[in-house]
Amino acid sequence: MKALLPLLSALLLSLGQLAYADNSDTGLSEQIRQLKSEALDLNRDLTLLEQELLYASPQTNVFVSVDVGTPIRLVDINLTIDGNHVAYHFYNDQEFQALTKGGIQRLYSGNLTSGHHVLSAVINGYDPQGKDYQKTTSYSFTKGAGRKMIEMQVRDDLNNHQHKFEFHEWNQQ
Amino acid sequence: MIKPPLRRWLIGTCLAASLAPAHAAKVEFFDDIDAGPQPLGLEQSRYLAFGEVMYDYYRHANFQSINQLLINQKKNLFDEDTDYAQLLLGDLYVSYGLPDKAEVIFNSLLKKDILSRTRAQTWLHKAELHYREGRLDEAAMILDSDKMKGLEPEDDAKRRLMLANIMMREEDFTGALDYLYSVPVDTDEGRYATYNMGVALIRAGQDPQGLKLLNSLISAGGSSEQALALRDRAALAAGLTELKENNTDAARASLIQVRSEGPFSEDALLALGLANYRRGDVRKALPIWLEAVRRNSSHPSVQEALLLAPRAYEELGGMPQALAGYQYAAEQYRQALKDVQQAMDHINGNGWAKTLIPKSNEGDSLLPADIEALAQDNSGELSYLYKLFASNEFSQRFRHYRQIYQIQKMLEHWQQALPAMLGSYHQQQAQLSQALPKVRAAMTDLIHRQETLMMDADALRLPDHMDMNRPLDLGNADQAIMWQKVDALDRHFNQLPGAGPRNAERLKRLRGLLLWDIAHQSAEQRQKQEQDINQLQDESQVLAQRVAAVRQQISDANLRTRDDLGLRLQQQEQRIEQLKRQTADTLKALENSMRADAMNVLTRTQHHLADQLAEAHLAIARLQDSSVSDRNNQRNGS
Repeated sequence: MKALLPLLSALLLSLGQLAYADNSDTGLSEQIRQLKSEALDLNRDLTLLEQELLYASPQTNVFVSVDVGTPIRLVDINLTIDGNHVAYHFYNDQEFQALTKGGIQRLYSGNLTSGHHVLSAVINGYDPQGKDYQKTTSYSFTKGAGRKMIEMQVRDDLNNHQHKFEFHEWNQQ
Repeated sequence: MIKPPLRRWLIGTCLAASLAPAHAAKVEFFDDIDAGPQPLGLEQSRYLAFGEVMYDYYRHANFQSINQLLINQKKNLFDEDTDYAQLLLGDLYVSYGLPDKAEVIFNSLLKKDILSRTRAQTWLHKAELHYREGRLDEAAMILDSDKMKGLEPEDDAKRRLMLANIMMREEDFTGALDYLYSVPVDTDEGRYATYNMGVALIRAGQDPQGLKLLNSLISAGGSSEQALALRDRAALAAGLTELKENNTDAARASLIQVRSEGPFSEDALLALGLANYRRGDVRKALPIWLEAVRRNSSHPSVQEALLLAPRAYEELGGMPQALAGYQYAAEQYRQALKDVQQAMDHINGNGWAKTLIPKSNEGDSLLPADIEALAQDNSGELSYLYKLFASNEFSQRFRHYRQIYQIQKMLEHWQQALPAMLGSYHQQQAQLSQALPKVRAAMTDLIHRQETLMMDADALRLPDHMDMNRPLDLGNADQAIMWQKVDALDRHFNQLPGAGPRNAERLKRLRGLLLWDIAHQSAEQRQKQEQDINQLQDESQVLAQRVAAVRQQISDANLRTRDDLGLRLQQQEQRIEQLKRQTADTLKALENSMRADAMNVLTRTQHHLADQLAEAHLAIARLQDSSVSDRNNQRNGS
C-alpha cells in the first residue's frame, strides 16, 4: 500500500489542471487562419450571389421580435399570406432567449405580387404560470415597387399575461 | 438609434404627461395608432439587419452572425461608422480563431472618437485577445489601466476574472484573491475562478487557504450540470488534499459530497476507500472499492480499485476471495489491453478523427460543443482518451478540426447548390427573354388606361354644398331612375294623352314628393358618395403602385437578361474546388497531430496496464504459493 501516495498525487495532479470556462487559442497555425478567413469570404460572396439570383425583384420580408426580457414564453408562430401558408417556426429555448435579448428573426422572405395582401399570424405561447394559449392576428399591407419590410412585434399584454401584436412597416422608396 | 416603437412610446408618454396625469392606458392608446408604412431609410435597414445578427449571435450561431455582418458590410449597410457592428465582428473573430482580423478592428475602433463605454469595451476585447494568445503582460497592462473606466458591471467582472487568472499563473495569489473577491461566485466564471484559485494555492503549498476556497465552492449554489460537475471536482480535490495530509476524517467529509453517479464518482470511490484504509478501517474500505470495481473497467480509478479490493480481502484474511479478486483483475487488465490495442488499430486507420465528431452535431453551428461532455458521451477508445480531451492543447486542435470539418461540409453544400443556381439562372434568362417583349407591349396600353383612370378619379369632386337643382347628383340609384322618369314625363307632358290640368297638378305633386325624398336622404347619400370617391382614389393609387412595380420588374428583368451573374457564379466553382483541397490537407494534418497525441496516451496506458497485470499475476502466484506452503505445513504438522 506504499504505492498509494503516488496514486493520490497523480489523481490530485489531474485535478490540478486548471479549469477554464474558455479555452485559449494558442497553437493556431497560419494555415488554419487562412482557410477560415477564405471560407468566410467565399460563404459571404455565395450568399450574396444566391440572394441576387433569388430576389432579382424587390422582395417582401416579415420579421419577428419580442419584448426584451418578457416573462411570457413564445412557443411557435404560423404565418399565412393571402390564405397561403408561408412560414412556421418552433422556438427552442436558445432561439427564444435570442429574441428576448433583442434579436430579430427573419420569418419570411419572398417575392409577392404588387397590390393588397393580408398577413395572418397564429402564435402559441405559455403565460408566466405555464398555461398555454393561442393568439391570432391579421394585418393588411400593400406591396409597391420597392422592398417591403414588416416587423411583427410580439409584445407583452401584461393585463392578460399574454401576448399581443404590433406591426411596423417600411417601404423602400 | 431609437427603435420606432420606443420612439412612439416616448412621444406618447410625453404627450400623456403634459396633458393629464400619467396613465398606462393612455400610453397604450398612442401605441395603437397605426403610423402606416414608413420610408425604409438607412437607420431602419441597420436596425433590422443588426437585429438579425443579434438573433444569430444569441442563439450561438456565430458563423451565421459573422456571415450576416460581412454581407451587410459588402452592402455598405455596416461600415466603419457602425461601431456596434464592428465591435461585435471583432468579438466574433476572436471566438472563431481569427485574432489578426479582430486586432485590426479593435485598433481601428480605438483610433476613433467613440463613446467612452464602447472604448472601454474595445480595450477589454483587445485584452481578452492578448490573454487568449498568451500575451499575459500586455493583457494585464490594459486590464489594470484607466482604459477600463466606464465598463458595465458584467464586463468589469470579466476584467477582474482575467486579471485574477493572470496573477494566478504568475503565482501572485494575494493579488489574485483581491480581484476574485469581487467576482460573484454564483456565476460560471466565478465558480471556475474560485476552483482554479483553490487548486493553485494548494499547488503552491498554501493548503489551508486553498481548501477554504474549495470548501466554499462545495457549499455554493448552482444547479446546472456544469455547476454540479465543478462542485464534484472541488469536493474531490479537497478530499485528496486532506488525504495527502493524512486528515482522513476531513477527507471523508469532502469525498462523500461527490455525486455517486457524477463524472468524478469513480475517482471519489477510490479515494474514499483509501481514506478508510488509512484510518485502519479496511472493512469499510472494501465495499467501497468493490462498488468501484463494478463500474466502467476502462476508467483508471476502477483499474486501480481492481487490485485494491483483493488486497483488502487479503488483509482481512479472506484468501479465497482475494485470489478470485486478483484473477478477476487479471482478466479485466487483459481485456483492457486488448481494447487498447483495438483502439490503437482504429486510431491508425483512415478518417479516425472524423469518427470523434458526434453525428448529432454535424449540421450545427461551427463552434464545438463541450469537449469534456463529448469525451464522456462516447464509448470505445474515447474512454481511454479522456485525459487527452481534458488537455487544452488537444481540445484546441479538436475544436479546429471540427470547425474545418464544418467548412468542408459548407463547401460540399455550395458545390452541390452551384449547378442548381446556374440552371435556375439560365432558366430565368430564357423565360424572361421570351416574356419581356409581350409584357412590354401590353404595358404601354395598361399604363395609358391606368393614367386615364387616375385622372378621372382625381377629377371626381363633390360640390361644396348640396344643390337641389341637381337632384340626380343627390339621389340614390332608385331615386335617380324615378327622377329621370318624372323629368321625362314633365318635359313631354303636353304630347302625352290625358295631358290636362289635373294630371299636371298630380305630376307636380309627384315631383315635389320625389324632391323631398331625395333631399331627406341626401346627407346619407353624400356620405356614401364621399366614401366611394375615396375608395376609388385609393384603388387608383394602388393601381399606380402596381404599374410602378411591374415597370420596376421589367427593368430588373431587363437587367437580368444582360447581367453577368452566370459568369460570376461559374467563377465560384474554382474557388470552391481550391478551398476543398486546402480543407482536405488541413484536416489531414490536424488528424495526424491528434493521432500522435492519442497514440502517446494509449501507449502510456498500455504500459501501465501491463504493470498492473504483472502485479495481479504476482499476487495470484504469491497467494497460490502461500496456500501450497500452508497445506504442506498442515500436512507436516499432522
